[in-house]
Order: sequence, then C-alpha cells, then structure tokens
Amino acid sequence: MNFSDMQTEVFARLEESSSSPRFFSLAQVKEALNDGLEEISDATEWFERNRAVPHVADQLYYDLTTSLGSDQILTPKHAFNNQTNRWLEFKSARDLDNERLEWETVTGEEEKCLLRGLWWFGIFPHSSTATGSFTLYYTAIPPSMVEDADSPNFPEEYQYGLIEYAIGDLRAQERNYDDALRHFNEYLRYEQGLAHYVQGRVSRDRMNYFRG
Amino acid sequence: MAKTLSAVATEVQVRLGDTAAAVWTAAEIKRYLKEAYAIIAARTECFWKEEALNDAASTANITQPWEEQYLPTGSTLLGVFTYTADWELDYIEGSVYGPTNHTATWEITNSYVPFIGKGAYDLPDALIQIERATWDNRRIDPLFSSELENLDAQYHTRTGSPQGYIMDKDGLRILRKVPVPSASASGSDNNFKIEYTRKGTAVSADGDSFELPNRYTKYLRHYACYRCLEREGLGQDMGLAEFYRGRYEAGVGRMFRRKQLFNQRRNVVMGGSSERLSRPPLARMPFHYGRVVQ
Repeated sequence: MNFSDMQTEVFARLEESSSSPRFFSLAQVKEALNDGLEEISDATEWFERNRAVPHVADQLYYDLTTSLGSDQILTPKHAFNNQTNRWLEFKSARDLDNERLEWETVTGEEEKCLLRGLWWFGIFPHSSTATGSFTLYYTAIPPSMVEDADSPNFPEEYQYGLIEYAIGDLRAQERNYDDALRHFNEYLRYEQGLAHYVQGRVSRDRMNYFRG
Repeated sequence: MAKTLSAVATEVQVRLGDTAAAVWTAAEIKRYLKEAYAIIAARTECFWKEEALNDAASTANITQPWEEQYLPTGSTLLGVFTYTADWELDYIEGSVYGPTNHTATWEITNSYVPFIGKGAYDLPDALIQIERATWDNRRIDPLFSSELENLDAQYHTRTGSPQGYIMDKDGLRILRKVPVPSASASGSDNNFKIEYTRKGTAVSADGDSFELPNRYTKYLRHYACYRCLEREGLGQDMGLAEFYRGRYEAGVGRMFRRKQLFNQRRNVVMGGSSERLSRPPLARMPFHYGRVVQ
C-alpha cells in the first residue's frame, strides 16, 4: 500500500471525494497519515539504521541529536569501533568509576560506551585526534511519506493502522470526539500487532538454553 | 529544526478543532505545553550536562544579591559575602557565603591577601539532580550534613582537597564542598565538575524552540490536548481526554525505557565479580557507639 492508496482510503472512509475534497484538504490528510507513521514508528521502533560517527579530538560525549545528521534517533542499540572492528561494551559511569580512576582522561581506541541523559553518548577511552570513527546502530523515526509511491517499509497488514490513526486525527479536528476515539482505539490494535512482530522476529527459531 | 512554542500550540488547536481559540485560549494551551515540557524533563531525565565548578578563592564584591544592579559599569559580579572571619558567625544570621577577605581577583592572584577557599557554590537554575561529581577527575561522594557532623565536628571550616559535598543544609541549589578547598584550580589540577540532569532550554516567547527533538514535542501536544479536554466546561470530553493522557503517558514511559534499555545491555557475568577499586575506610564510629550495651 503506497501513500496515494492510503490517501484514497482515508477519503473514502470519510465519505469525501479524493479528487475534489470539500471538508478535509489533501494536505490535512497527508499530515494525519505522516503523524500516524511517526506515532507507530515511535511505539514499535521498527526502523533500524546505522551511521558512522567521526571522532572529534578530545571529545568524550557525542550529542546524538546532532552527530547522526538528524534528530530522529530513538534508541541506540549497538556501537562498533571501526578501527579495531570490535563491538563496544555498554557501561555506566559508575561501572567505569569502579574500574579505573580518572577514566575520563584516558585516550585511545574506544572499547566501552555509556549514555548520559537520552542523547549524550560517551565512549571510553576517547580519541585524542579527529581521525577514525565508530558506527552507531540505532532505531529512528523514518522519513515522512512525500511522493505518492512512498510506502512505509513494514508489512502491509499493519499499514492499515495509519489509516485508522489519520481518520481519528481528522475526526478529532472536526470535534467528533466519539468517532475519533473509536478510530484511535482501532489504531492501537495495529500498533500492538506491529510491536509484537518487531519484537518477535527471532523468537521462534531460538533455542531457549537458559531455562531449558 | 526544533518546533517553536507557537507552532506546537497551533497543532493543539488544530487537533482540538478550535483554531479560532473559541473554547481554549492560546495562553491556556501554551501553559499546558510548558508544564508538560518541565514534567518530561524531570520524569525522564532526558537532558544532561556537565559543568565546571572549580575550586576557587572566596572572592566577592557585594553583600546582598540586590546590590548587583548597582555595580559600576564594567564591573562583574564576583560573589556575595556576609562575613570576613569565622568568628563573625557568632553575631550574624543567615550567612551562607564566606568568609571573604578580598573583593577583587587581582588581590588574590598577586598574593596580597592569604588564600581563603570558597566553600559554598551556587548551582545552575536548570539543575534537576546531580548524577555525578568529580574532583581532579575522580568521583567524589555526596554526603549528608548530619553524617558529616558525626565524623568531623569542624568540617565547616576545615580546609584541604574536597573529598565530598553536601547539598542539604545551606538552601536549595547550593553545594558545599567538604573540606573547603585550600587552593584554586589551575589547568587540569583541582578541577571540580558536576554532571547533572537538567531542565530543557527555557521556552517563554512564541518564537522560542523546545529543546526536545520534534518527535517528542508530540508528547507535549498530547498532554495539552488531555488537559484541555478534561477541563470542566465547554469542550469537555473525558473519553478523548483519557485517550490523549494514555498517549502522553505511553510516550513518557517509552522515553524512560529507552534510557533503562541502555543499562540493561550492560555486560554482567553470572557468578563473576566486577573489578572494583577499594576506597580507604572512613573514620566512622561503630553503630552502637555511645549506647549502653547489655
């Protein structure tokens, strides 16, 4: 289902003409659909990306809302040292305090990483020069749909959730709150389904060795 | 590009179908947005900052905060002091800053007066909670003043290298280093740093931007919709208010979990023990010290 199909579906369910809509404009429908895409992506974290972050000399913490080229990051998942080809270990500042005195002054190839607040990503040891990089794997909000052929890259059966969200959003705008709530609740079922799909990708084929 | 206060307020009005502000005024919506902004920062601790609070001489040039506006042009505020020697504490009330024996930095840099360290430091207004403090790049402990009183009856005036700090005696947003620094920071020596969670950049005018990424301004929108719709009077709809409240709570919960997720990914070795540096034992009395033991 592409962006154009979604718009047609929303207009049909609002009993509006898609070619010459009277009550809701095309721009409003597009915005509502993209709002739904943002909402379901935030809730399910289905969009996974990675990007190399160049070292900055003597910098321990990197602001992930600016270092990744956009502020769309949701959760950092993995980090990789591109020089040593090793994954970084996740640590807390307290762990590093316990392991080594004055760890913030140590420079070298990063082996461990930590997160402060939601977006300040620390590496230990940090680089003393502006050469090299580490790659961050993270979940993010996908780009908005713009062209008619654009389509969210998750299974089509969950894409109907965007339509429910958009109708709920538009009904709320005309203060038809009962109808809005009904569609929002319908949307939540799609959101839950996609969340289970995303989280359950490897559960079937996995051997449960820990509990037998 | 971060969204501005007025842009998010307009989004709320559109969602509520009240672009003419017939039911909910723009001022009311903006108040809810600012409220949500502050709550999110406090609940999720998403904003973080590190800031130097280096050891320094107790230099001050005014005795009351209101005097700041009367400083001569070109002068900078160096600090507030209320006494110049410890014995004066017997005679004054409400003193926090001091003692101070000079009113200009050149007096101490040229060694015209003996060094007196600054014990109490103002913390940033945006501070929510200190996560970690370091002196000379080593973590130091937060302490309770009652704990310190039992350990060292003269901690207030004792000087040396700061080994801890207290925040529970001199007023809100004041940090007292213990012991009082005996030397100023120079270069990378004697540096004192606090790492803290903070409020977002202040938003007051229409054109001010939220520090949150655009994605998260939707939670502010949900909160404002919820507060508008639950308000008694025209436009009240408890069902939809509950929906928006649920979306807001779910969003904040997600932000919180994202932070926790990182900690859950930390490597833990079952049956192993982490490498720890031991600290020298504190001079602490036994727990039953002074009691009659039967």
